[in-house]
Amino acid sequence: MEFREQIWPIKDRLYRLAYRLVNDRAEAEDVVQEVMIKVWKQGQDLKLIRNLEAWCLKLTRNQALDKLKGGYRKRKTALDNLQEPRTAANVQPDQQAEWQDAYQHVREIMNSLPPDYQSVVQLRDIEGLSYQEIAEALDMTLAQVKTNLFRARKRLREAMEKRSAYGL
Amino acid sequence: MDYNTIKALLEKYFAGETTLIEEAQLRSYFQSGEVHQDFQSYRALFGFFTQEKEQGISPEFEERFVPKRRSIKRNLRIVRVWSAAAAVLLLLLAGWILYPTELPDEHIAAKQPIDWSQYEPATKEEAVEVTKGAFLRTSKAMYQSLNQAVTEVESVKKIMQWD
Repeated sequence: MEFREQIWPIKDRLYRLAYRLVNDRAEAEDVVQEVMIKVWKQGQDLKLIRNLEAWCLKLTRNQALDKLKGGYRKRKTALDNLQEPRTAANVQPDQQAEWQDAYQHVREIMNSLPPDYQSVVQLRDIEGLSYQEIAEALDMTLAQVKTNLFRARKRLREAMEKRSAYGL
Repeated sequence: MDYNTIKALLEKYFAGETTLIEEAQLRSYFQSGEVHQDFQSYRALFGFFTQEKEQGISPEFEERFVPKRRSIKRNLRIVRVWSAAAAVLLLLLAGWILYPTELPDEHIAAKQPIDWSQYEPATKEEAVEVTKGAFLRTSKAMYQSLNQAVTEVESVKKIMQWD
């Protein structure tokens, strides 16, 4: 019951975190599948875990980092063609292309950050978790979460302002 | 939201001091399409966050995962059955080790067939002596039994008298 009601609904959040770290859709889905299988095998023991979501996020992050350490070849799959970024309905095509180019730049900056910075930005700025929730999910202290977030945002700011200065 | 509020919020944001509500306000502002020129350089950043939130796992994931879940369930059941069988076998083995069906040596010796030929008398005189001894032992046992019976009868008489 816990699996169906609490774990399955957060699969997208787990996927986004995995994708943030491995930067490959197929590998990210593999990570989520492996995590889901581990969770499923817990059976009744799931009831003993106080914060299931934080635990799953932690598993996902560890699994993704293991994949990075193990190395993998970026697979070109049909998944790469899926989920074209959505933009506002009133945005002109050329403007849409410009935005996608800008978003791609942000993605590249994010990918250049250390995994801890990426994880914190992902869980705060994209998933909207509190500092406490992030600390539990990433096995950090509150101070570490805030420090990592500050440093990550500083680097993002510098990169965005530099891009803007070049007129891009 | 006015210029000064956004500027203050942005400074707070990059200092890592905004609340979740304030961050939501910033995202909303940058999605509005009416972004001041001074803040244009951050538009892509907040737009990226909003776009990323919409990403999700592919629909095919569920189709792949459900059969795998069933397979794990089936394997776990098989493991449980084999574990139970192994436990029963272990118990039987323990019983066999602790309570063996084979007898100790002294009991085995008692069940061996007896070679009576070693006890047979070698001469006529020896045979007569052996027979006399057997009669004497029987007579003695009968005398003792008779005395025992008389004693028991006397006891019963006494009990009957009390009644």
